[in-house]
Amino acid sequence: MNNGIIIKDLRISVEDKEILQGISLVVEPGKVHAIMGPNGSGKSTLAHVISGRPGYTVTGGSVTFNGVNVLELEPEERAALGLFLAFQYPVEIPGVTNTIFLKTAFNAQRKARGEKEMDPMAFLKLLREKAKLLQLPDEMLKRPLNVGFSGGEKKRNEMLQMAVLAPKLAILDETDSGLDIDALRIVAEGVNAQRAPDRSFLVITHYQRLLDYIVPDVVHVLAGGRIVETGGPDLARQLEKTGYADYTGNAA
Amino acid sequence: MTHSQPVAPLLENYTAVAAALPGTLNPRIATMRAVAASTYRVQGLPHAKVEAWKYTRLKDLETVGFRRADAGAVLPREIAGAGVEGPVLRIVLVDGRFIAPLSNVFDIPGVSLRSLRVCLDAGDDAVIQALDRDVDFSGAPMAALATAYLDDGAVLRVDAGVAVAPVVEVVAVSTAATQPRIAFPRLLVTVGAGAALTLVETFRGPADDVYAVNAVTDISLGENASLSHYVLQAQGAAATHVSVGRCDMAAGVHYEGFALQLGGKTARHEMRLRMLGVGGCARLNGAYGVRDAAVCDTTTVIEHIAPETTTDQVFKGILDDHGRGIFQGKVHVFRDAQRIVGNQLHKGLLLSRNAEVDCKPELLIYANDVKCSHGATVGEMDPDQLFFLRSRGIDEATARALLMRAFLGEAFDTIQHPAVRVAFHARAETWLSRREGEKA
Repeated sequence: MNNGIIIKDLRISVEDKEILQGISLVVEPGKVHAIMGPNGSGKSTLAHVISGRPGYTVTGGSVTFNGVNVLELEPEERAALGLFLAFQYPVEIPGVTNTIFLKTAFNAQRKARGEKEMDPMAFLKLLREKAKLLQLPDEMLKRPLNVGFSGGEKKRNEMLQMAVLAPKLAILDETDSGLDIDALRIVAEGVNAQRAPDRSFLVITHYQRLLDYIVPDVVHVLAGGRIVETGGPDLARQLEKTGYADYTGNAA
Repeated sequence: MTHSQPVAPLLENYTAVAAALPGTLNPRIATMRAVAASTYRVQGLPHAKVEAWKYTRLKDLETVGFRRADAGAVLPREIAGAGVEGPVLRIVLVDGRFIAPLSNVFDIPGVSLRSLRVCLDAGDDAVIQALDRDVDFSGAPMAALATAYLDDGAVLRVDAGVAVAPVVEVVAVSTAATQPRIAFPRLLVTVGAGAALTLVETFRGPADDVYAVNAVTDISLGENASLSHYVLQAQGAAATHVSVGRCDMAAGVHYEGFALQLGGKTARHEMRLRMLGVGGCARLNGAYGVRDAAVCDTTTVIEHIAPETTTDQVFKGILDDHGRGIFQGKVHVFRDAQRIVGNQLHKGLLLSRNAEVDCKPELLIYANDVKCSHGATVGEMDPDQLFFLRSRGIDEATARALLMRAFLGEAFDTIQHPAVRVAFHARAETWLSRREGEKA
């Protein structure tokens, strides 16, 4: 079954506080959905819950991805299904090189899907190709994961992981935060190059700016733990002018 | 009550044994032993009230009744060292005895290797002088005990200006025996002015036997000498291991040390550096892994006696099960030792809620123009790092293993000698994979 991600009335609590208060959302294969909203509206929570970060309590609703209930799966099992989260704050791991990390992840996913591991030379070739597209120098592949990387380099590195792991659904959690306009363009081009009929995107952002480069099919406004409005790309442009004041007022 | 005071453990037959030790007729040697024996007799085995031994009790030495070891028979595979690839000159000590037929011949001009016993029998002044330098036994009963039994070992000398290309590896092996035994491996290393040496000390023994090792290594570095000094403590799981390396450093010396401790039921490795000359510089790093109910103690004592001396220390430990790690780092800056730098860091990674780390930095600073720092972190695996790896498809066990390797790997990156770095890394890898094998 390949019908994308279906989120139904999802309710999430953290320490008895309801952060998501009934989210329903369908992202079909090949589509790009944007989720916009003010700080604290639950955008990042949604991204993390879909990816399986521990610490959240599901109090209601469901998330199915291509027919599988992902809420019951471990994070690594979700990744093997083709879910990918580009982190807002990518983690630094001293002592693990970018290449070793990516090779381990790539082969772990293949193994989980019952595929054969890729020959190391072939993998290196693939890795270098993808890095080149994102204008990441080879030298960065040899460095420990994200250690000493600038903010822009970390985000480009997230895009590299996405390109290599080739997910079915990529969630970009405020990937634009902390990026200058050049880095933003590179990241956006990386995403656009990945757009495909069998791949969907959930782009989470506070600002409309990123959506000038990654043009979404649908825009949702998340405020106070609920989706308060859904529209086309125009909605994002309108928000840029009016801000979130209308929604935060309503959602309070 | 003084008449009926119990004899200190391990000194029960001392008078008879001492009479048969080499060089007994040499008054200096005899006095050295007698002073050490009486010091040990007064102090007894280390206990918690001795500050330098605050966290580590050598319980088995108190109760088991070890006998001093005679040299047993070894199999060739038992004298394997740390596994350093490339040119290696090996010195083999079996139960503390220097075994020439198992050791390599050192036919390098300016380098000499001799048996300590032969030197003591011959009354070699330079050797006696080197052993009898102003060693302070206060708070060091085990070093005193080792000197009380001063017997055999290896004496290595590198003449001024000689750079020794091969790695010199000392393998101190304990052999299996029907009764628990204690060995006293002893090493005396003199590196002349401007000379360079890479030294690897490996301690090993039977995997499951109860045995003990109390080792002393004395090193003297001449002006501008350079020493890379690596220690691998790979004792068996029931062993009690105590070792101390004492290094005197003249002006302009470069010392690089790394101690890897992976074995023993109770193990303690101690490094004591005396920075005696201006501009001496030491990097002292290490790593340890401890599991089951083992105790692993790493203690360093740095004395900045001369000005403009530098020390940097980074130690890392992984602790599992009921394992206990101890790091004590003492830095003593003497009054005239201005413009010195002394940095110290210990990081512990706890894999189990039952594991424990005791960390004690001790800074005694009597000069006023110094840069000293110390830091200690102990924690569990970072949940953010773990989730990041898992979100990329790496299963939890593999992610944990990767993070453990990363944690230790950083430590190994400090090892300057490439072949030693690879060898030590491989040893740690074996240690880590045993965990995964058991818990998979």
